[in-house]
Amino acid sequence: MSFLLAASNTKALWYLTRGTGVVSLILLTTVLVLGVLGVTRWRSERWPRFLVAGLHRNLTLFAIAFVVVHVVTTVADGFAPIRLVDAVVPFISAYRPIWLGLGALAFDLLLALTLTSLLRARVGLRVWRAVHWLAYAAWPLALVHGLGTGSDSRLGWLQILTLGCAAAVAAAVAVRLLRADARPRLRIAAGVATVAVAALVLGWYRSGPAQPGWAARAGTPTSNLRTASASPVSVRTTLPASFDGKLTGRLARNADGAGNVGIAIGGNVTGGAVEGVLKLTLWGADSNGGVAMTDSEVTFQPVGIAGAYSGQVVGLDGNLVQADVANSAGDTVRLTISLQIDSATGAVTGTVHGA
Amino acid sequence: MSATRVRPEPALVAAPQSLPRLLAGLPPGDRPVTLDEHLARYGSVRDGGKSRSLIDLVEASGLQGRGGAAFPTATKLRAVAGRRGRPVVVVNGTEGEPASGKDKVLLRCVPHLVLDGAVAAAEAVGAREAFVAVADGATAESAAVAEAIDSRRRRKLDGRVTLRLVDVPDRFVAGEETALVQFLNGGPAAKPTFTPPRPFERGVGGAPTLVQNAETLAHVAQIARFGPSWFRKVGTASEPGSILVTLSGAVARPGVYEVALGSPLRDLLAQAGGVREDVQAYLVGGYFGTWVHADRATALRLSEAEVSLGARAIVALPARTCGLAETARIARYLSDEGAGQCGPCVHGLGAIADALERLAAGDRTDRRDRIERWVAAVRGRGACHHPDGASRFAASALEVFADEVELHLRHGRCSGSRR
Amino acid sequence: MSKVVRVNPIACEAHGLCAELLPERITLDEWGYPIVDPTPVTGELERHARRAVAVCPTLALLLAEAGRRSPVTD
Repeated sequence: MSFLLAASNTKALWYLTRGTGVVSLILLTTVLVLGVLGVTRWRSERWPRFLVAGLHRNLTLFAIAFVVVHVVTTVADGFAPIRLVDAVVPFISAYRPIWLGLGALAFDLLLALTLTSLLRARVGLRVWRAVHWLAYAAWPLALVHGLGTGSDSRLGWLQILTLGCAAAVAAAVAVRLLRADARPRLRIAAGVATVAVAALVLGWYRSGPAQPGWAARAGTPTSNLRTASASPVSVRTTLPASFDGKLTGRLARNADGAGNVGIAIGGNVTGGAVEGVLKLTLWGADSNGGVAMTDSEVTFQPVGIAGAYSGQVVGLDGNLVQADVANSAGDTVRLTISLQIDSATGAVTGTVHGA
Repeated sequence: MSATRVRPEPALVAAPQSLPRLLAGLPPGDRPVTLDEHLARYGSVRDGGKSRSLIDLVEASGLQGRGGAAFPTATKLRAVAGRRGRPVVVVNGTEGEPASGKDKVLLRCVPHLVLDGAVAAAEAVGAREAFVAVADGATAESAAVAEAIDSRRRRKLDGRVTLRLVDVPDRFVAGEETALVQFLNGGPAAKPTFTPPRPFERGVGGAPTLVQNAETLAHVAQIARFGPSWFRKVGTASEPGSILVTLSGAVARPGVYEVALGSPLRDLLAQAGGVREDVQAYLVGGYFGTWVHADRATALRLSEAEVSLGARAIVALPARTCGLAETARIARYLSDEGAGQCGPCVHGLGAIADALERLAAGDRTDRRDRIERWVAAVRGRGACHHPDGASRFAASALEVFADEVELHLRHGRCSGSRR
Repeated sequence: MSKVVRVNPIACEAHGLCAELLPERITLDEWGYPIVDPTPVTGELERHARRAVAVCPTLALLLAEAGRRSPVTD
């Protein structure tokens, strides 16, 4: 009795965005390592130098292709209000402007690096070299962008992957500094700067994306998830005795042709003492456009409170829904939800009362 | 004596009947000829408006550059005059060759002759500026040129041509044409550049630049006054005129002498009072030159057809000196004095110098064919002709001092008592 | 109008990629610097030569007109 949730459309684009972003980071890591191998004149029996140079070039072009897909899927996915221009002009997006903007900045640098390299004979060696140094800035920008905009920065395997890439880049930079023939002071300064940046990023990650509630602090707009408040939401462990909020979301409806329907409503609860993500799923028989419910599932993830609440619909009367949900500790809450559905667009608004 | 703008009748001016020409009428002591003395002797070189014919005069005279490459001067003048844009003249008085002192003598003793030539050439190609490049260690020469420029300016002798003295780093390669131009363009250093464009196309400030050796311009100054037929009275048909040669080493009176091109080395040695002791070989052409066995030297004529005259410096090596040691010393100098810009030159000249030094010191681990391989490997692989000159020098040493090399390789010691 | 490969010895830093991509004209000496064969490159070889010119990290390799040496020299 499971139906494909139409909401998974949005999910596909989001996974694509996330996936291409991760692959881009891996490619850019590889490209940076290859660049260091090239400038430090590494060669082996089976790897002639032109191969290292050629891979460095081609993988960069490949990475750009992935970044372009990454940008397109992000913009096409209407879940977050991101426009095409936000991908090249940094810090003007409505969605997590700083962290998205860093990605735009990294993309701009990547384009500059690539263009000057393709036109190297025209721009001359000095200009090319000066711009190419920015590669060492582009990589950490891309990394912080990924950690700051992702919604699953705490996933174990992603952390391991990120750590692997960071380790590879750190090793490459170390080799570069050790083999450089610039003045010692310049090399030491560069080394200190690298360590400082690494420490900063690590510290920021641990206090930022690694902590729950990052999405709010990262500047996710109200239409998605978060308030516009700049102050970090404190971490509570239980819901207050009662709270109210406004619901904004979408509805998706799927029918299997045999008279069974599934209705999924997902949205954000904002504007009250408790904010969070609410998901309602109802299964049952088609009934004049509505549903004669036979099964349901409700989840509520409040912001700033560890642990999700889940449960079932206990009452359904037209546009009024009552659900009882509980968290893993056993605290229960009765949610009373009043819905206004625009059947043309699938947009959902309403109110939520918890007690 | 007022500076007239009309070229005086040749009869009024004392044309040197034979040698010396450039070095004629030098005052006693080492002081320069003053402007008054110069004008009294030669009159003014300006002929107010008929400058274009200077190139024809120079062409008819067959004058070749006296800086080492012996390139036809008229061809150079025409090439620069024919370019678009206002040209610039550079007088190359840097003379970085350690064994040569002729340009310094000219600048120090008869600067006005050189400056006359510079101004005449400038007018012939349409230039308004002439830079006089002097090595920054040559203080006496610098002072003489500065004073000469000053006195000419006071008399407004040179019309619209401005003379400027420039001090150039005292390095061997600093006098190379493109290095000089690069330095005058503001640096970073006086090092050769990878041509094109060549200076005659785009040089100082992007203008077509005429770089001419100081002695060449001194000859131009005399040709302008006395004409091509006079110039051709000494020398040979294909190499007319006189040259200044620096003679040093085991001769009685080392110094700068003026001889006719094509004259035998014997005559030059006689002028210098003959050799002081037994000579085993002569280095002809300075540090980029070739070694010539003393036996062959007796019949040798000072002509490009017989031997590359290079910087016109000749060093007489006494028999008691180890030719190999002397070669090693010069090879090391050439290696150190390279601009250091081109890998093959840096490595090659270094390897050659190392090997020669070791050989001279009695270390028998090197092989002659290795040195010969390096000598061949550096030729033509630099941005300038520095490795070519060094290569030619080392090659001639290996040939002329072959016995010495054998001795060192076999027995680890020298035939000469001095190392 | 034939082309030859030339190297700018001042810009060259002995990376050696050119010799890998154009062994028909370029070999490396014992210090890693290119020895360039001045024979012209034609047809298929010119394509390889262009690739070698593009890959040089210091833009030291050039494709030039054959026989173009300046006449005025000192």
